[in-house]
Amino acid sequence: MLSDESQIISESTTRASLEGILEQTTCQNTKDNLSVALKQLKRDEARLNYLEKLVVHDNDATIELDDKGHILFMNQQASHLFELSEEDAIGKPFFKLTVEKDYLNQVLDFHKTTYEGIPHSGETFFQGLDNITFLGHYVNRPIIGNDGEFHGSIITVKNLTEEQNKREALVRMQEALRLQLEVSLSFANMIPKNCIPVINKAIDSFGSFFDLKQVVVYSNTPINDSLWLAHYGEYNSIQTFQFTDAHLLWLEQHLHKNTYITEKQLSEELLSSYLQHSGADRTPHFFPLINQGEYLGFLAFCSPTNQKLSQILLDTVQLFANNIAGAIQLFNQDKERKVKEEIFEAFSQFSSDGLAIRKDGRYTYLSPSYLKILGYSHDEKMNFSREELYNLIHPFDRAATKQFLNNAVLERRKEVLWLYRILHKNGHYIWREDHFSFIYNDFGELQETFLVARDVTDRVHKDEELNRKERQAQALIEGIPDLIFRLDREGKYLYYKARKEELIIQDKSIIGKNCKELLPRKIALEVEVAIERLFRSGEMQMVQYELDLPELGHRHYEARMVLSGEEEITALVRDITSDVESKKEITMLHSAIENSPMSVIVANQDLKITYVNKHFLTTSGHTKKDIIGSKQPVFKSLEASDDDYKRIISKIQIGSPWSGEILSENKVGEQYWESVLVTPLKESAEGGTQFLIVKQNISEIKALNRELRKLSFVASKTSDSIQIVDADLHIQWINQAFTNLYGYTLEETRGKTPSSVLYGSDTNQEDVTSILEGIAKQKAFSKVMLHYTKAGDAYWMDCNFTPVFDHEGILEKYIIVERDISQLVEAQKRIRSERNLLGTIIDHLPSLVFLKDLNSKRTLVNQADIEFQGKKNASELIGKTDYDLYPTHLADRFKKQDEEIIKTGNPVINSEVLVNHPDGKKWFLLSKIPLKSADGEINGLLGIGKEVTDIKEREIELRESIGVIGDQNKRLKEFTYIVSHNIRSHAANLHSLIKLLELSTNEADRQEYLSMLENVSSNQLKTLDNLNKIISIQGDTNMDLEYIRVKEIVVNTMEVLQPEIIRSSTKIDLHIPSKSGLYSNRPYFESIVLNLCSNAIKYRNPEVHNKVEVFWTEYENNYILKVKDNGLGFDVERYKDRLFGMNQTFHNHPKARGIGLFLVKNQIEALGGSISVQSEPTVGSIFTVEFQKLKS
Amino acid sequence: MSFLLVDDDIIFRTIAMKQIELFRITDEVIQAENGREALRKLTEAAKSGNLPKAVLLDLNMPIMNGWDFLTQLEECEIQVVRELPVWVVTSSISTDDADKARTFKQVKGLINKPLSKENLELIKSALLN
Repeated sequence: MLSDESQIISESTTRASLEGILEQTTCQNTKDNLSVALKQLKRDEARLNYLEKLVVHDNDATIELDDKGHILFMNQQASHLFELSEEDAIGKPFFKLTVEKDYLNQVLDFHKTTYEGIPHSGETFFQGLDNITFLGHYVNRPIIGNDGEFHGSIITVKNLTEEQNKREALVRMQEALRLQLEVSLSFANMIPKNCIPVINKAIDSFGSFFDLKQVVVYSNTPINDSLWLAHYGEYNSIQTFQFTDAHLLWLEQHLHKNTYITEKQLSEELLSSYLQHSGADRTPHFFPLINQGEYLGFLAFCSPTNQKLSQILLDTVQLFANNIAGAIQLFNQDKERKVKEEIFEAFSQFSSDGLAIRKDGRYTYLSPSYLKILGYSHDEKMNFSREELYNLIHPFDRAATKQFLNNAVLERRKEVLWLYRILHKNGHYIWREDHFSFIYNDFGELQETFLVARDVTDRVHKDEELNRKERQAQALIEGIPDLIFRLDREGKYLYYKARKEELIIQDKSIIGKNCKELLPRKIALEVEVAIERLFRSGEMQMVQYELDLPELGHRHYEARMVLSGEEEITALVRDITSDVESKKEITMLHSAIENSPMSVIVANQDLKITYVNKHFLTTSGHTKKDIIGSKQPVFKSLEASDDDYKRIISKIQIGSPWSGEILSENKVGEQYWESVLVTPLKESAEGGTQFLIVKQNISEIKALNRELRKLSFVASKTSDSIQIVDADLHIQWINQAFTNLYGYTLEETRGKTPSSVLYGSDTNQEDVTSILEGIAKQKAFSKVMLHYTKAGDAYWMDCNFTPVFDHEGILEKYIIVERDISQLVEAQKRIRSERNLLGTIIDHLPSLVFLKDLNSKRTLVNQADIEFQGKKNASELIGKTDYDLYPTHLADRFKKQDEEIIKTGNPVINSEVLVNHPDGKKWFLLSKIPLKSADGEINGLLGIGKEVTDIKEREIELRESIGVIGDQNKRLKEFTYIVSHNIRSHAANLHSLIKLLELSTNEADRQEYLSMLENVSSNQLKTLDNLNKIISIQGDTNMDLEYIRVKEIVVNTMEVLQPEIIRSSTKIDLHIPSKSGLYSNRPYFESIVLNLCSNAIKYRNPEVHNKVEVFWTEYENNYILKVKDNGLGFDVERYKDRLFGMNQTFHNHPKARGIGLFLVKNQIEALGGSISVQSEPTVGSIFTVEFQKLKS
Repeated sequence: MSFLLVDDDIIFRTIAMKQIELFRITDEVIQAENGREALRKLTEAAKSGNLPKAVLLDLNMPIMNGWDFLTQLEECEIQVVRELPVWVVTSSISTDDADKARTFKQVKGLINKPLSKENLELIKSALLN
């Protein structure tokens, strides 16, 4: 095509000469030839014009060049594409229009075209509009003249800018993939320390590939002492540009969020600073270097043009950045690993602990220190085998060590510690403690064992020494009688020595417990304070405390606490109970004497007064100062003479006590009566006899006696019996009524206590206690008591106790007034006993008896009810409702009943209730009667439940047996009917035939009758046979039972029925577990299966494909046989009464006979089973046979 | 005059035919094996105006027994069919059957098998009166 065109073009130049020749020639032949040629030429010319137009207006830019490659012509598209007017273009070398870098190639191609005359096409980048480079497809067609010379060329250029992106994407995609592969491969094989050259190399190829102006990689952490990892491109000054910390921070913050940062997103300050210092004339794009979420630095580059970054470039740079990030990470990790290796190296070289590594069952590394522990130098013994090392272990520890380590590995333990003995080079065993670390692979198999060995011989020996010393100390401690506790600073028990009964808790150890938990709060507080003080001062602390111990009772202790270690104390605790008690006693006595309402004076041998109590001082008016040391005659009566006094003194000086009443005078001259008791005390501390003088003011008593006399006159006249008792309950006086009632005189009772006089065998001890409590309270109270007379008669007395106090408020006496209330008490007792009797009766009734309130809560239950409900006490039932005792449905029923009774007031008598009791089902006749209060209001109800389980069960049994009898009766009737009907029908036929025979005269008729007779008699025989079968079933009580395999029987049956099955093309499905079986009668069972199956096959529905299924299922108590068909079926409702009767058929089927089901039913019943049927006309039937499991 | 004889026992039917012929009871006997066939034959006969004068009916038959036949007969749309006199002829001696049979008003009598000259003539005379 091209060559044709060039020929046309070369020929067109000769048209004028052709025309000239045509005008001039005369030769017709030549003329003809020429005109043909000219005609041809003109046609070609027209075509050429057309083609020219096409070229000028073509969508493609077309340029004509001369033989030097200079532009001769360009069409509109071309001038538009290159933004050159034709005038400007003409004369310019065409290849100036291409981008510089392709110039050489184009020149070469041009020359190729020139010299070889071959059209050439290709793609290149042209310099176009707005100085933007575009990709163009060009075709360079040489113009070759007729002379074969090269005259120039026609070039068409097609702007591929639109296609460019697509094609670029495709090419770059391939390229990117190659690059990715290359980079990944190089990283994978890279030694981390060489990462910088690799990154540099990668950057170079990346930068040059995408024609980028500048690429830099900046790392956050220095690699080979540099943050600038790599750079590429024309701006060398980039390396001198220093990012400020603020820049880096800003970049990190933004790059973490975004995949990259473009010009628009860059901070203004950073941008201007960057442009100013880096020498770059374009905005860089920043990409983050992120590996596993960690920001490692960034990659920045400037694109060659201002065009938007292509997706392929973005993808590639992203990939690239990831790879670099990976490399940096690898480098960092490598650095870390190196540090670790150094530490390990140092450890294995210089640590006193030995290190061993075991892999695949042998030692791969033994550190010098490991060998040193065993006494070997590094050079001496480089490699111990496992066996050698094992044999060094002490024979006692060998097996245990092996087992321990094996177990540790079996349990997948990661770290264990093991102490054992191993032989040192010097022939002694050393103690070694080894720390094993086990490393497992993904499959849980042991891969490597790291072992850190330590010589702990010294420690073990020291421990032993320490143990020995501790044992000695222990023995010593055991010898000390005191209790010993060792506590830590917090008060926690570390050790104790004490008898069990001396501890607060005795059932478990107190070690590890804190004394603050065990001791009462107050003591714990004191102990805490003492411990604190002890630690502060270091001085011994003493704490006294009292404890109530479970066995020893109330005890006093004194604890001496000393420091026994840096952080522990020892407390020696001594039981000081007896000391404290005696001291307390003395104090008590002293205070009793001191505060006594009597005057107490102690005088020495010379009657010099050595002690007086407070009361003496107050009554006498003396001061201690003037009385102590004086020889005041404190027991001399004003009425007594000096001689009398001397006689008393001489009496007491020989050791006899003296008592009497004296008239004394106090300092202010008041006189008063005192009773005096002088007691000589021997063996005093001072050696000689001392005198104890006790005096009591009795002036008031004397006055009171006069008062009493008046009172007693009144008291003696009352019918109530009155006693006056002193504060110690000694009878002082009784009245006449007392004597009348009890028969005691005043003389008989005075000085005695009422209890010794009045109490008898039935006097309630609790009442006595409460009287004593009442008296102790010193208040008035009353109490009903049973008192006995002198003659032994008992009386119920209402006793009123009234205390009488003296003017100082001290209890002086009680006046007891008693009234006989025996009749009242007896009456109450009788009521109570009647109530008891009633209760006893109710409790011993066999029926359940209970009372309910209006809310149906039980208020009373009897013993029978308690036992029935399975409870022990009435309290477990009182307050309960039926919902607490019975299932909801029953409780609902009871509740309804209760409400009805309460509403209407009508009792429910003997309603029958069935209760599920743990002992089985129980029948009750329950009666409920409303209870009415005195005013006729219903306030509850009485329930009586009589158990009638036995009767009820018998009734049910009876009903069942009536059912059985009825059943048998029905069968009998059926049978009778069958016998009468079936036999009679044959008999009737026989009779009729014989009659006909008699009447017949015709020989042919007679022959007919005889043959009919034969028929009838044979039918009769068959009927009799059938009946016989049934009779044998019904009478067969002892059938032979054997173990039957169900599947076997059903399969055999199907074989028997095979011809029928084939004929009817019936599908048989058996659902019988192969091992199922039962004890039964084989002939019956076979007959049942045969009849049911043959019926199912026989009565098929001609409309559908016949299908028979047999199911056998075993349950806990029974077996179920099911025969299911999709045959004719029948209306069960209609035929149910006669379904299993004899000679009944329901199918509109010529073969229906009707003995089968009757037989089957009888056989099933004889086997103790039952049969039922579900059916629907045209749908099918299911016969279900249930056999009970026989109890062998 | 014709009878409809309904019985599943072919021997009985053959004997009965011979007897009716021998004792000259009727000219014609229509036979049916069971209740359903009997109903069908009655309906046909009614259409052709050739209805039998009486039905001799067995009780125990397959497909449709005597009782069901009687029930269906009562419900028949054709009056003449509905009012056909029926003699139950059965070998059953159950009094229950006899009592039950009497509850159907078409049933004119109950005859225990075998058929005899006497009871056939009884039917004939009953029909003639």
